[in-house]
Amino acid sequence: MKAILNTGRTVWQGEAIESGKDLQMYIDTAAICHMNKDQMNALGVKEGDTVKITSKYGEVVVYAVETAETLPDGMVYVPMGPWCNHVVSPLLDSMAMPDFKDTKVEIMPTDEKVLDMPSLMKRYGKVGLY
Amino acid sequence: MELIKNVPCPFCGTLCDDIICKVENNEIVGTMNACRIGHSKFMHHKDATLYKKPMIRKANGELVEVEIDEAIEKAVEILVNAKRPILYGWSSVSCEADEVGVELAEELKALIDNTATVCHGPSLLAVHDTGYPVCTLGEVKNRADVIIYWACNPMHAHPRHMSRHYFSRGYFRERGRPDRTLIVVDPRESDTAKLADIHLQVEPGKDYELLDAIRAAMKGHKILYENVAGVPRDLIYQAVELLKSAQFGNLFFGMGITQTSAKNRNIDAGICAIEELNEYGGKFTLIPMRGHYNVNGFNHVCTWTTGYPFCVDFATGYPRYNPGETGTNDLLQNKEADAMFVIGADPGAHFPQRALQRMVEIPVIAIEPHRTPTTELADIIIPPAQIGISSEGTAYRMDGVCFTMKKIIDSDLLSDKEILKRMLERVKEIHASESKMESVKEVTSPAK
Repeated sequence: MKAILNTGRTVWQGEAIESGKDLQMYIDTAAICHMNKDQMNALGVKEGDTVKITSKYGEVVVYAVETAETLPDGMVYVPMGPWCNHVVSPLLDSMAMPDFKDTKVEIMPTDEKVLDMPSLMKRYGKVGLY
Repeated sequence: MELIKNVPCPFCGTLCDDIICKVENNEIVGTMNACRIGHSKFMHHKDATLYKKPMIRKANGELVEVEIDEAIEKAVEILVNAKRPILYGWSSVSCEADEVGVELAEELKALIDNTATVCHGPSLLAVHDTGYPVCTLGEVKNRADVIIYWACNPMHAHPRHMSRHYFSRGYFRERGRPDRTLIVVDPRESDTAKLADIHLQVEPGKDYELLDAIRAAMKGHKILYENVAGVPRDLIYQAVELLKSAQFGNLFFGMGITQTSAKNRNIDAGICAIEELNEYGGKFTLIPMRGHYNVNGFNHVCTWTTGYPFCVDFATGYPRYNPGETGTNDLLQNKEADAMFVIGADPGAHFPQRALQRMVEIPVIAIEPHRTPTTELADIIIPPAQIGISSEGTAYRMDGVCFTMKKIIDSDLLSDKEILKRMLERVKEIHASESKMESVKEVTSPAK
């Protein structure tokens, strides 16, 4: 399913980042994709199923959740954090600001697992200096 | 149990200053009045990692505890030897720490930038172009009869903003909510939009078109199309009439217009609309919905020390400012940066993948008490005492009013400012000794 990815704050994600980004709470509130019920039906997924979001900049696996804040047709919403930032547009338009909203994405059901924060960051391949 | 009253909350730019902290045995055991995000900030979650000692990352990825002197020495070594270092963050630390940070940047010939670069940076650019008709949150509470939330969702991002400044009773708005009209502009039926009297459900990325139509209608021009940016023409006329008849209106705006296609041009149009609305008898102002509690403070400190609010590049020895060339994301994504110092921010969580791909290639120093995506990419981690919890300092609210953040509990850790001052002193020592060596070389080298 093609969609426009919107990102931003939710109060639950905010509570999680201040509680601890290494907690399950962070995964439950930021590694999720808010969708309207009809979008979930079209994809054939139910609450808690995993979906893969792919853009020309990357891909990430998150849980599908039904949104309480109805989205316009064709939009999905992933709370701000390292999961959505795997796929958002990094383009700066000569203004120093990446396009965190309105990235074109493809969403599909998947059997792949959702990574926790440390595992997700390991994908970048940091090697220690010392 | 001790109750500490009138505590400013170190989470968002609303800087609620009515928090009560319950303290027992030098530990915050509860809060009153805080939102659930602010409460989480004050409380330590028992399962979350809180660093107590500085650490360095070994080649195998393991973090090893070191003494503070060693951590500072290694951090300074990285920054002094870097050709294009970035000092980034500065939004969850005090203005006093920010001031030392700017001096450190100048000494290192570094780029200094704060989280506005991925937040309200475009708003700052628009302010340069168009102006800043700002007021205080107190004026909004006491005077505003029309409030607009454009492209922001305070019910989630600033959870007490509406209760303190919109629902609340004010001097000239004695009944509170019944005396005010709420306009929300958002493509989603957000929890804020659900409370609106008028919800302008703009199509994603078309805020500029809608602002243009509103400005045209304000000036008496007819809107030629049935819908503009997905909003019916009649609803635009209705909103415009409401705006023109307001006694005191305020526009709050957020990331929905700073992070979408037209970026600073959206804000230009918004500021122009507010300035033009002042021609119809009422008073109109705006306030950007700032995120971190002291993101605004850094922009102020940086402006009065360098002349520019963010994206300040000292590479040439004097401050240069050209967002798009001198932004943190510019330097990371162009692979110019060769070292990064992070304080009071979490770029690991909030930068796009292409910037993080550079962060893993260069040494990263994080002044951070918690385990975060940034500390996962860091080579050196130095935990500080947290401003507003275990150390004090000044912060600027989203409207520019400044507050003294309180120290609630004691900590063995150095404050951000103390860490920075020690780093600055050491950098100056190294530069002085290098300069002395150069002088000796010049004196002892044979004349040509």
